[in-house]
Amino acid sequence: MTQEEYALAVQQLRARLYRTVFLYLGSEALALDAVDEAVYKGLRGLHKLRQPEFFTTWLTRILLNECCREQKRQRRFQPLEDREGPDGGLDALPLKEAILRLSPELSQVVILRYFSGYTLAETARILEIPPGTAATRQRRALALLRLELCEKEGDA
Amino acid sequence: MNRNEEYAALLRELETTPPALETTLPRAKARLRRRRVLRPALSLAGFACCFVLLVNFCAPVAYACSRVPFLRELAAAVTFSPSLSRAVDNEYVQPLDLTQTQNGLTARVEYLIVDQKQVNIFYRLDAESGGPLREEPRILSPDSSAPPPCSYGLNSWDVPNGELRSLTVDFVEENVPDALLLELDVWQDPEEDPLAEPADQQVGEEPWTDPASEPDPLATFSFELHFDPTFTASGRQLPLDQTLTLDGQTFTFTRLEIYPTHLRLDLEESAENTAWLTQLFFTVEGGGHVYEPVANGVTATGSGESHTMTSYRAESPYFEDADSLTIRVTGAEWLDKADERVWVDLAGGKTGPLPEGVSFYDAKRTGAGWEVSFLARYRKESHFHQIFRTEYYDSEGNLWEYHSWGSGGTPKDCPEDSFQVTLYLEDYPYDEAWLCPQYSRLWQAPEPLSFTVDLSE
Repeated sequence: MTQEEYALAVQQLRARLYRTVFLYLGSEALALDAVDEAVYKGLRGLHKLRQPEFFTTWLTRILLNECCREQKRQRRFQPLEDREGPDGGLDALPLKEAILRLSPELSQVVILRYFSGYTLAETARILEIPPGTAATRQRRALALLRLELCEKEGDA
Repeated sequence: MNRNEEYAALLRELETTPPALETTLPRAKARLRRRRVLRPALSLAGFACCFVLLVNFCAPVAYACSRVPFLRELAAAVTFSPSLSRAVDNEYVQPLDLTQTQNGLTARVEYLIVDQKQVNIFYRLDAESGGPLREEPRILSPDSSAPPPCSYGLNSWDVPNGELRSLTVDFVEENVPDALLLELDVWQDPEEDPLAEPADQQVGEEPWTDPASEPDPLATFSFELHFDPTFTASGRQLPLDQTLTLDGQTFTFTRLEIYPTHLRLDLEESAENTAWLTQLFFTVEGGGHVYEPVANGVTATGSGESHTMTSYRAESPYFEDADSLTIRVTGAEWLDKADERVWVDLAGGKTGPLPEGVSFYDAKRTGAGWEVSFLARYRKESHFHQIFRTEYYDSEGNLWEYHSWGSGGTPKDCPEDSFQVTLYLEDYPYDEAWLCPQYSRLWQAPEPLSFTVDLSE
């Protein structure tokens, strides 16, 4: 992939990246910083992308790593109970907050599937988990959130 | 509102993205450029020099050289320079075929674009095994005598192995000689994994690196480049005697130099001036074209005895058919002689008068030195500019120099039209420093000042 192709691909993907990370981090400023960092790292590591057809999942994985780093940083400054509630009892919370309260493996799947618009196969590839595991996590997350969305709802 | 209605509302909310998202890619490119600028790639003896480095992200355009198949790739490699693009369009290229192999690495020099004042060298690096290659060039005289009086710098970074790279060698006063020796130290970097989470920086770790830690190059290539005299004779100098007063400061434009690779506008300053001219904003117009100042590489040079830059570069009208050229001066960047140094109380967070649009942000001790940050207003969106020169002084007037600096986006809680510049004052034990601003203020001419140069003689 050339730098010109990268520029075009990022232009098409940036809103999707932002939506993904905004729900992870819950703040516009943090989301922008994470997208900036991922786009920069992607640019630097472009020569490593051997299969351009996987560009979207590749850059999204870079972005998720940035999210994890930011979440780790936040945990240093916030008591655990403020960030990591149990997966139960979420239906009383606003949806955005409830998603943030899910355990990371569940919130990742629901964000990628139903807010970023990735297919189940893409979600599994981004998270490096089997598609069956992704499907199980998806069902569990939807149940906890009391969301009734069909299997194909999140597909782009 | 039930859960599914909430879901629909949240999706609608996410449809709106912040405007800053649109410039994420320019920010990434700018950051990549800054990272590369920190690599010493340009040397210059005896002259001060302003330069800008742009990574070439321009979309390739259609070139007239399509009938010369071997120039197509070269045309794509010079889109960062309109002058070089015109040179390639006009087949103003000296082909070469010099190849060397060492330790599994191959270097091949393929083209030159050379005139009386500048040499552009196009080459490829390749490796039998993977891993990106990185080079450090040296320009020497073939007879191993004194180094030639030139500056040189890479035009491209992070070029994939096997693709064209380029290097520009620039002569300020002297002409390009008959031959030069190009030495290339080449390193093979380990494959970077962008998916890997970077290690956290340890608290108290100094952000600068020890330059002595650079490993030995994997290969050093040496190419003797002989230039076709037809090319090295190319160029034209036109004497001028045009005095202009810019914002109360007087300058005499003394010469216009037109080479295939660039144009130079030379001037002299009046000793009575109260400010040094650190940047001239101008255009050159003629034959229905407008030639902008050079936006990549050396943009201006000075004698080193004054902070005034006395020779300014623009794109070249060499290949165009113009009877005259009009120089239009639209503004200037000044360094007031009274503000050559600025006092900074690092411990107390106070400063003397700073350049226009610049404010103090933060200073903190880092290891044995200081990390001091300023905020500066963008002149152009996502384009950083240099605020301070690299030299600075202590209270005794002793000269110090910093070797690394960085600029980044807008810190939270700061105006969005600003960027942050951080200087790393290594091993600096004192609580006060006197920094040297690159400029004091900008000036825009109420009306452009212009004069015309006759080319028909």
